[in-house]
Amino acid sequence: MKEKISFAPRGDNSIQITFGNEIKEEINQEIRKYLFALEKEGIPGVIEAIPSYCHLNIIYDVENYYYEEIYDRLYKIKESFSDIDIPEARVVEIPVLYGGEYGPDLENVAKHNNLTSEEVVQIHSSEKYLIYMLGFTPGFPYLGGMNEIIATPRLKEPREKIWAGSVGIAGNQTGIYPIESPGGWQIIGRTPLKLFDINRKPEILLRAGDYISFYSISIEEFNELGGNNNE
Amino acid sequence: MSNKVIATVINPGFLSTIQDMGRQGFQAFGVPEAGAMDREAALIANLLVSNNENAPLIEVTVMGLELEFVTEVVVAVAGGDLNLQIDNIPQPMYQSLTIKAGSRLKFAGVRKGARAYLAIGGELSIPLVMESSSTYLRGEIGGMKGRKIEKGDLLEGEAKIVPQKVLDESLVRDYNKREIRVLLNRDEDYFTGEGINTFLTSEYIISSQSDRMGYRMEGPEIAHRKGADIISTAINFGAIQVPGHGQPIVMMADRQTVGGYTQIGRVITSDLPYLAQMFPGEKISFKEVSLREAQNVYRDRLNLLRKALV
Repeated sequence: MKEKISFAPRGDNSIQITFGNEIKEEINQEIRKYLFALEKEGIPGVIEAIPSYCHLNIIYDVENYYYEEIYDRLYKIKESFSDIDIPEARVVEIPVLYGGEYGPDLENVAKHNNLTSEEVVQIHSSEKYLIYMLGFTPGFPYLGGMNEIIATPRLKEPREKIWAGSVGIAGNQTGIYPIESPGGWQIIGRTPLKLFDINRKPEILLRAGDYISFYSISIEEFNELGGNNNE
Repeated sequence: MSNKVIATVINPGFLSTIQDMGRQGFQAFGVPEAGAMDREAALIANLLVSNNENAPLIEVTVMGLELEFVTEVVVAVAGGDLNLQIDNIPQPMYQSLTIKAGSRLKFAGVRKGARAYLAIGGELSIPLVMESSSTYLRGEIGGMKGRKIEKGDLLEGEAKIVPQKVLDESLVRDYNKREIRVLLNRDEDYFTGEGINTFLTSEYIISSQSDRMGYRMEGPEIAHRKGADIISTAINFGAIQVPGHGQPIVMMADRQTVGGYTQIGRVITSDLPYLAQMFPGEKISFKEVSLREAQNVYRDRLNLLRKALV
């Protein structure tokens, strides 16, 4: 695997490390491992490391370090990181109130796939989803692992407002909206958990490389978990 | 830090926000960097009033901000020339100015450039959100409760009467440059040779759909080898995305952290301030330079500025 890892400058203040060219769990795990080794090593001059599906982008202090200096340190990590042990990925459990006014498109998704709403919920909440990366809006998880039998195209008319916490499906992806925003995903439920809360540490609940799983809750549990404070 | 009112906002102008050098370290969580569009001007303004380089200051866009000071302050303005006035009398930029309590400072309108940076000696009391005071408007975080500055807002903190400083005229950036230096992503082959040639030899016009998030360009189409969509990857400040229509977009301070369009290269750090000061309708071209040259240009300039403003 490590032979495939390559480095290239991205402008004068960053290095892109490429781990592959497909969306694949193994590649995500390599990136997570490398990132762990990088954090442990603590290279002076590295400002941040941004993981995505196949890449890790390193932003560095261009005032004090040349490309080659950072590259050398990063290259050394590449030589040794596959042997290190890293903690097992977290599985974050996300409670979801499915359907009704909180999941107005649950029936669409069921109809589109010739299933009942209960079956959609059952399938959606029985998988474990890998967080490949965060992006789009603060804390938005790009998830892999959704069962294709509940895949549904985006809405033809995007909604102007989707509540924070909304859980949706777009094509063969599922995701959660951390902040209120417009969007075209089929909304099947809502979680009372805050994925993004500036008054909490950490502000962002999820990390790339974590897994999440969904479980169905009632309106009472939703309210108990602070669900309606989201609005 | 004591928390006294320093100034009252009489008029917020077109778009005024609190910014610093950006929210660094949180892009891995999908949090955009935000921060001053023209980082060099922000640095100069802060250094002129002996502030920390990363201290929060006001980014004034185009025109209109008017403040009334309730205490004596020392301020400095750098970046775009938006016709700075105190009590209706024009004032010089790039030097510290002492302002008496009760006086009014305003930006009367554009003379040159799009964004001015106003630093106030001492410390503005802006709560840190993820280690930064920068306003990220789309996410409603940072700065003034996540929003732009509004009429009646109070700027609070501690004003300090700091020593007078002036930036030597020879060090003031000439924002007239229209040839923007770039580094190309030469390791990738998303574009045809002709496409890259088009990019480097054509003139592009900054489109009206340009803001703190990104500058869309209009000009000859850059030809892709096989499509514009890639597996999403991080987007740097100044990265140049080329979607399917072949027109480049330069990603700026409020860009999202990742994107799925091919990137042809990146504007060098030293030339980002030129773009930050441009308006829709202005024409630019791109010129490739080497990595070492880009890094040295940036270092040398920063060294000069720091030495001049100690």
